[in-house]
Amino acid sequence: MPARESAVRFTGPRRELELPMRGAIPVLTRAMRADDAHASVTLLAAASMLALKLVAAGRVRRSEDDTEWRVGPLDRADEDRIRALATARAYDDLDADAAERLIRQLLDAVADTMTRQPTRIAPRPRSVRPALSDRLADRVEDRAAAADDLPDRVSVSLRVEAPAELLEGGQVSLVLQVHELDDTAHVVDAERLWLDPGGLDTAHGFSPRARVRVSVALREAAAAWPTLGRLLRRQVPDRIILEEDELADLLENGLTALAATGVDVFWPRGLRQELTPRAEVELRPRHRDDPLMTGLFGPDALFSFDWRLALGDDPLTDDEMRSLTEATGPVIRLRDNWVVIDPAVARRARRRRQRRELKPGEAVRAALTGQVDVDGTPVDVHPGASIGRLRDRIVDAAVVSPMPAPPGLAAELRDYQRHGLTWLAELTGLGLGACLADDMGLGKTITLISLHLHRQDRDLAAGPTLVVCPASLLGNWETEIRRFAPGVPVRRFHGTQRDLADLGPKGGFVLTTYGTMRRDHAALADVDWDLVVADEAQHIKNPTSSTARNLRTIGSRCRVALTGTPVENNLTELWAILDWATPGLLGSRIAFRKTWAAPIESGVDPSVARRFAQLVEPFLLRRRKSDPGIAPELPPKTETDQVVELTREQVVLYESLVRESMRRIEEADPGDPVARRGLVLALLTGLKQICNHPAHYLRQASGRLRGRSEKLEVLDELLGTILAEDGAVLIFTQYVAMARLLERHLAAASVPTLFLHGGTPVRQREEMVAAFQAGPEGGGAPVFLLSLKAGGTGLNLTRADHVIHVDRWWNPAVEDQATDRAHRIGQTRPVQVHRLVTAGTIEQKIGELLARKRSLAEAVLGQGESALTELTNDELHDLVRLERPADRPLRTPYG
Amino acid sequence: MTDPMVLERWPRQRAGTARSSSWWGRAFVRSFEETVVDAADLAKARSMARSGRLGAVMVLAGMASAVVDPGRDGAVMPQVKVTRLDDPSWAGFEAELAREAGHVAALESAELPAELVEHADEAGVEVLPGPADFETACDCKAWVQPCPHALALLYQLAWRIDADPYVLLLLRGRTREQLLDAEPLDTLDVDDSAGRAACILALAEDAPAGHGLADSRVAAYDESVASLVDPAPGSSP
Repeated sequence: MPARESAVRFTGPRRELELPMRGAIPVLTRAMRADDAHASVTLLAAASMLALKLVAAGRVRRSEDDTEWRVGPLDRADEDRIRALATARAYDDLDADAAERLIRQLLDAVADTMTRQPTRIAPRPRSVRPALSDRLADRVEDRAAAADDLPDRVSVSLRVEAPAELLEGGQVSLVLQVHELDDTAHVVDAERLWLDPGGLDTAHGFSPRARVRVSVALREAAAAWPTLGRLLRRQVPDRIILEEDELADLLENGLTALAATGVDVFWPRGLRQELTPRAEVELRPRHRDDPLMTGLFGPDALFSFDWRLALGDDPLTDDEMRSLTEATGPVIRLRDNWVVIDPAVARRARRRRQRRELKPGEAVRAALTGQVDVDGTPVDVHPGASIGRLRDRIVDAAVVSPMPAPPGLAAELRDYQRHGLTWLAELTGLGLGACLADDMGLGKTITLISLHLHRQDRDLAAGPTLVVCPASLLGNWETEIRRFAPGVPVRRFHGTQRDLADLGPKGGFVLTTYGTMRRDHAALADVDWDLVVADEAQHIKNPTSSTARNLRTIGSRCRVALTGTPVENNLTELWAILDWATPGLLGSRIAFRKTWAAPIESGVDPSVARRFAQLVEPFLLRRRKSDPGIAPELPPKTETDQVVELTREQVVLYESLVRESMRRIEEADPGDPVARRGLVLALLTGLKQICNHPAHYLRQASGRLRGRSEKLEVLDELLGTILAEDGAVLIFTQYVAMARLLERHLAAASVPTLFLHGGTPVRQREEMVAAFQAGPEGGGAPVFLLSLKAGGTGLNLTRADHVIHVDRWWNPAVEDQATDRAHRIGQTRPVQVHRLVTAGTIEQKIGELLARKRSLAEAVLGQGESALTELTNDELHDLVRLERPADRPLRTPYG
Repeated sequence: MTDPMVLERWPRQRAGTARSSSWWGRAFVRSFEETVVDAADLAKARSMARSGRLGAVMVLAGMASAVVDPGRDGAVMPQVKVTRLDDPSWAGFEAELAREAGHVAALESAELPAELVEHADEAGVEVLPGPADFETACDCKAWVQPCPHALALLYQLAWRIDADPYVLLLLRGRTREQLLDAEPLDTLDVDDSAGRAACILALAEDAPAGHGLADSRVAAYDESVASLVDPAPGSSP
């Protein structure tokens, strides 16, 4: 038995106690002070003091068989001391020789116990490990022959050992390991290279020189993580005990630094349990009893939010979180296990506030992406009850079965429109915003009017609806509201009319333009809006523009963006529109760039794009005419009047022409009907030209066109959308001069056009038609300008899915014939017909006449324009008189 | 690195490179500069040392030599002898070298740890040669030694020592191989246990007199001593 495994037996009156050397040495050393000790104890006590003195003087050496340590070499003085002690302390049953043997045993036991390394490899069998003297003798030969064959190129790694005794003190042990550079599976504890310097017989399989390499590698590692300097200062760089702060530093800085120098750190299984943060989002308790979750995102809505760490899938309890935050070091005891946690995680846990508030936008984002930001890092959200319900409701908004059209809607809704309405109603019902981005012609306006009616009908609305749109669409909105929601008050906030008084709690519609809104947003912000609608929402795609910024200042219960151009492909524009509709949903613009836009555009991580789609999809509804199920529902032909206002210039021209012509007609000789007819026809023609464009009436072949007629602006809007959809369009006018004017206008905007009129030679016509039909591949421009008479018959232009009538032809049949150029056999898509109509003018009046009194109109207008010459002066005056918006009645006189 | 080491000839150096950059190089220079009779020789020797006139420097255990103006008429060969440390001294140095694993690593990184030299000094082993340890010879006609040729060689040696402390150790009698292959086993563990034993003896002088394990002073004493006997229980196999 090795000396260090000796034990000392203490026999007392009542009990016996056997102590290993580790326990016996303290007892023996303090026994020197006890006066009443038994002689046997004093003997051993004195012997152990002598042993310690010898060890302190370095007087220890290996035993002959090299398995243990002995005291020695002993000089004469030492020998004398041992003998003297033996003689002095011999007692009853023990003579001096026996005492001396006992003393020598104890000396060796102390020497072996003290001199063993704290940890060491198990002693190897003697046969393998020859005595030191033999090895010294073999050394020269060994070196020459074998050592060079053994590997000396090494790398080092570190192994964490964590016995419970150390963990209780917050410590772990760090053991240096050596790997063969060319065979990293060949690994031994560095200690063994020192204890067994090597030769032919080495069990560890490294050359003696490997030790030097280990030291050098360790020095490099210590340069990366300075705490390893403690290993370097050890004689045998075997292991060090890491204190709490050193372990924390290892976790926080060391691991990264060491990994960078290629030094791995191995942890015992289970010690570094992955503690992952996980968040729970809940509604504030005071909202819990609100069964419908209506107005969830109203101004008072608040979400509370809490996060905690989870061990695997299992969230920590409050007590566990507390013990974690109270721990001074990285080692904590968790569920009967010791775990080492990263200081960064612990710090986060300490910073954690018990219940944080979450803005509605953030809450929705958390619900949809399953992640929430905690101090700048994403944390997985554990689906709590209310957040789960919320998520389901948002996601299901687009798939729940469609609601019926609201009462008060004077139209039938198509299935997909009811579907869109339901989606809008669900989202706005939650207080969230939405972006309806259907293709043009699918009826976004009527869907929105239905939403207004729905909210008013269900008493969900708390105020009027504000529609912000381009100036050219004001008339159209007004007309459609009057037509589809008769009786609902609608007023303009535009031009000279800026009256917001008496809107009433159940207001109707207020229409304004982006320009007016920008200048007068303060007044608009004072109104308690229920719904704010941004039509052609690409107008706010630049979030830094004053238009976008001012629109944000106008509060409402919910917001809806309408756009016909695809926005989902431009992330920044999409952000601008959705962040207006549901503030906070996508985070700040900078955060959005960092979290979504940059990673998506770089395309490195496809999962980012997927999560982004999850987040955005519920708030964006885009149906295309080509979508399955949409086209069959569409009528083969949709006709829309685009009602526009006259510009100031047009009003002046229009009114002076009416005044002048009426005076001359009234003064005309009643006996000369031909002269009167001539005057009437000239008046009608002049008015229609003025309605088209002042330059048309004034015969200006050059000069500024922009800003003088809203028909041009509507045309631009329409073309922008049509071309964005890869559509093609026929533009009809009855005047060649107007067609030329449009050609000039479109050329200035770099829109390629074809132009066909009565004077175009037949061969050229055929070439143009062929080019148009061939599409972009055939070099055909997507815009075809035609004078009504020239293009009215015989042409097959089925590539076009849009037809624009710039001016009115009195006879609907002529318009239909023109429209049929596109809408005929061979056309696969629904055709949309847009008629540009100036409000309050002869154009609108005849249009209404045609629509409302079809039979009468047919009778009267059967002969075309000439029939109008038969009207009396008063009738004629009513027809041509310009009605200003202020005095325009709710219904036309013909209604 | 073998014995002899042949250090390649240095081409002409910029002025100003005469100073050693390492603390041990500077100590080496201080020592031999003290042996000089005429201080003017030092400047002359420094400029010769960086002139490129010295050929390759040959270093053997305890001595070094080089040829000035090799291949020309008037070429001379200065020689420097440095007192070699005896075997017991080297054993002492090797013991100190083995005391910390970082020492060898430092040497391998061309660094001579000050701590190593200090501890060796305390153990009576002077690694850095003193003025008396230098002896020079040259076949020039100078009538005192060290002559400027020998001094130039010494300056060059100082610079070489800056870059590689093993050159210094070879001048003192041991090659790198001898040092690295020294058997460290017999010095192992002893010093550490000696320190702990000394601590226990110091504690024992004030050991509490009580018997009972219930006495907290006794318990504390026992715990301290036990931890000194075997610092890391439980981790032994």
